[in-house]
Amino acid sequence: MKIFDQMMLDRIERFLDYTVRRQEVIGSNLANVETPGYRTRDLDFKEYLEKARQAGSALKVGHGRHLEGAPVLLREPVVRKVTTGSLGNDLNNVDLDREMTRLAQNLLRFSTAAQLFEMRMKLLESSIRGG
Amino acid sequence: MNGMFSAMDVSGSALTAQRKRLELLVTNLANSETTRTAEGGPYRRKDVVMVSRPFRSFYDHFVETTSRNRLEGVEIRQVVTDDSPPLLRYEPNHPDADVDGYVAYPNVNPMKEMADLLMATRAFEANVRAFESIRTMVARSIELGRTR
Repeated sequence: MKIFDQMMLDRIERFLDYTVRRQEVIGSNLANVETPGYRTRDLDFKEYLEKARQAGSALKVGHGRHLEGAPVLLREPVVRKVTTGSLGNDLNNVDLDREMTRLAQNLLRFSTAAQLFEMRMKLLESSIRGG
Repeated sequence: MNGMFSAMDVSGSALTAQRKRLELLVTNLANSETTRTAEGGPYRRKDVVMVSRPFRSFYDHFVETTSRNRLEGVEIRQVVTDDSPPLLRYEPNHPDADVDGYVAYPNVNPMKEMADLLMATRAFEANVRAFESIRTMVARSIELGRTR
């Protein structure tokens, strides 16, 4: 279905999934801001996309006229431990300000993508109904 | 959507842990001059041992996830009593004074407690923010299904 490809819906969906997963990781970091020995984690979008692409499509195309399935969303995100930042006496490198900044940025990214998704859906809807 | 609710649990675990810690810090401050306790002797400072705790995300029930990628919440594993010696003050008229006229006061340093109190409050607030962000995201995701 060309029209759905052009709407980039699956790409927006993947980006939404990424922001949700990143939110989880930031949430973990913030929960452990005072836990001795905890190291900051993060999720890199580039790496995330890379792995999602490797995972490929969930459906096999056995015939030229078969529709290609949407790529599966990544089951297991690549979470990296961040080694930069100063280690305190408790061997914890969570930077509260950095995490709060990322939290805000991530939420904005999510909202942007959600907005984009809605706009696309509205566009589709009006095309279907003929304006 | 998968992990959103466990992400809420992660933030929730931190709220619980920080609140418990705040309660202990306040107890320490309240008793910074207490010379008599049920166990005998002056009050002894208490502190918490915080340990990160892996949380299962919704996906984990279906696919194997390596421990590296698990969400990490936090919990208070233990409450410990600070066994450092009490502070001695020379107050011969105090009823709890020893033969030399010294009174054993709690090993509580109000400055340190205040600093910890501030950190605990900040950590609590940060986790409230994280929780709210996730709630916003969940609410917005539900809205996505609505076209009109």
